[in-house]
Amino acid sequence: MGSRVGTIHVSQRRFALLCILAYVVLAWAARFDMRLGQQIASLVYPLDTFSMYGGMPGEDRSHLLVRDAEGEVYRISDFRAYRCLEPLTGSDVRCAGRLGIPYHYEELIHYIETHQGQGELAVELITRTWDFPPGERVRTADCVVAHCTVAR
Amino acid sequence: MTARGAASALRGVVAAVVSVDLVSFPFSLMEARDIGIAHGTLNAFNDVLSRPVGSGVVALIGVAAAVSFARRAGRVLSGLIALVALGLLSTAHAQLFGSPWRHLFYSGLCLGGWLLGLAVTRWRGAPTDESYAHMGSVALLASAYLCAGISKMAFGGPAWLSGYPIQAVIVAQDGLAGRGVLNLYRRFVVETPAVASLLSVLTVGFELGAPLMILGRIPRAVVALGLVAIHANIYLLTPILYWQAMLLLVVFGLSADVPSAEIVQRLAIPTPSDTRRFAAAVVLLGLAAVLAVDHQAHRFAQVRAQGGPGRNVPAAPVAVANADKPMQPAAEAGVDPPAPPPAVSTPPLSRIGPLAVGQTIAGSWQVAALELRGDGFVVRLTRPQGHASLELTCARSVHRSPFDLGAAHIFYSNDVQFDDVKAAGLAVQELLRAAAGRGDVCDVLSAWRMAAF
Repeated sequence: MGSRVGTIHVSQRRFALLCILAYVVLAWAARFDMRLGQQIASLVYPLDTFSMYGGMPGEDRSHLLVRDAEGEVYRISDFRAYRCLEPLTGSDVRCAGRLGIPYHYEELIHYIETHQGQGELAVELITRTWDFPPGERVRTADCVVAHCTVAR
Repeated sequence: MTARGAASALRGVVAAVVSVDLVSFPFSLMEARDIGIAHGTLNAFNDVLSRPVGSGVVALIGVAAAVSFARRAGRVLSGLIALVALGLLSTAHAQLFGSPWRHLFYSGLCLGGWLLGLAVTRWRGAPTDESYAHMGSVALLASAYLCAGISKMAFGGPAWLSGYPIQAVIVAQDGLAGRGVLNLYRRFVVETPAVASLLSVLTVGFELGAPLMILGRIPRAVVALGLVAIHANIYLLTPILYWQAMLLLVVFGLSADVPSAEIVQRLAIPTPSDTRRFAAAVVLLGLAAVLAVDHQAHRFAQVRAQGGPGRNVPAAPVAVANADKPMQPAAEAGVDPPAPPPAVSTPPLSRIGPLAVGQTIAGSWQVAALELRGDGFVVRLTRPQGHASLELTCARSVHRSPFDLGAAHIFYSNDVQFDDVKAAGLAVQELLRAAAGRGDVCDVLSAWRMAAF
């Protein structure tokens, strides 16, 4: 009986190894482009290569923030009303190429667009980009997307 | 707990996570529908499935099937219906949103693995045995992490272990604008490359080691808990929570793989020819896996070389040269402003390539000076409203500009807004493009420099 159980364990592991290899083959065999990225989807659910953070980061080192006159930064969701002068979407949007993770930017802009209203505090909507030079301290650089008034 | 009881509990957990994911889809699809309409990705398939009635009906059928699957061992058809429902809703959502949501894949993976195992035991005459189903779920769960680890090595290479990607993910996901202890921890990791690197090594190590989970109870528990710890740490560092994956890792990671008496009695002892067939299958699948990964890595490298866009495409980091100053001098305590460009070291010239001092560019800009710098050159531009500079170079750089053309960078100066210099940058880019034709842009730049002396 004991040897049969051992045999079954071997058989189960063989089955599991074949499952793993077959999954890797099918998940990697074909990758399709989608709106938010290239080589982003496999053949069919639940196949995937789970490559979300596989590549070295490019423009994903930026994040949309609010900066006040003192240079303090806040999350977009820290404010409940926005009125901005410049466009936040489309080809004319400032700071193109450093807007951060596309879906994040879309979500945050969607938040602003659905929280329109008068505000008394003048702020700048910025994308902050982090730079990680080897052997040096982390640097940040801000790019002003729009000038806005906001309210909490 | 008996083997059958343990398997029943696992089946129940899988069905529960599947049901929660199914119920969440109609809500996610409603939001994704707006995104799809805005971006023109609505089609007949996702149109139906993103309407509340369509997604609700599919989700309801899927949940009913998942409940049926959970109630008794060996219900392949019920499980298959639930899996198809997940697949339909996930596909529609990915089309509309523009990317798959991977946190909703883990329930499908465990369910799919369970069904594969059931298919094997059914074929062997023990349709209600779930020991192979349990192993199938563990295997597909492990496959997901193995693929994640392979991705990091195939797309990022050894550089992924530097910690830089983890630092970038934290800042891109969080923005470091929060307050409190959590924000201090995030800043600490971002500003301490050694810690980020250690986290990278642990992440890749546990991901590539995930297949060890099939070897037995102890390696499975060690690897699964390691992966749970990584998920928990990711949640502390970013707002990304993969609770489905964590829950499934805990329940499967701490489970035993006890075969039932049913399968023990029915399973034939493997013969040498069985072993040979298995070895051949492993070699063939292994070879196919290597070829598939290599193919995608090559595609990825090609896209990167062309500077293609995309969330998953690691275009070189964007230029930060045009950083604005904040209204007040210090943007953040302890963080240095970007370094100024290096000083120009060569005398001015009157012409480089098609560019000449005094020439008008993009209507309003005039070329004020041309200067050699490094292996490229700088175009000083002026107009009544202000000045700007464009640097053309083929030097390798971690920075990137929207005007880049192939391997050539066209950086713009940090004292001007992108919108202001956009027309001039595009005009210079077009000059370079026209001169290069189908040739190498860097050869053109080099020829322009040589002719300028």
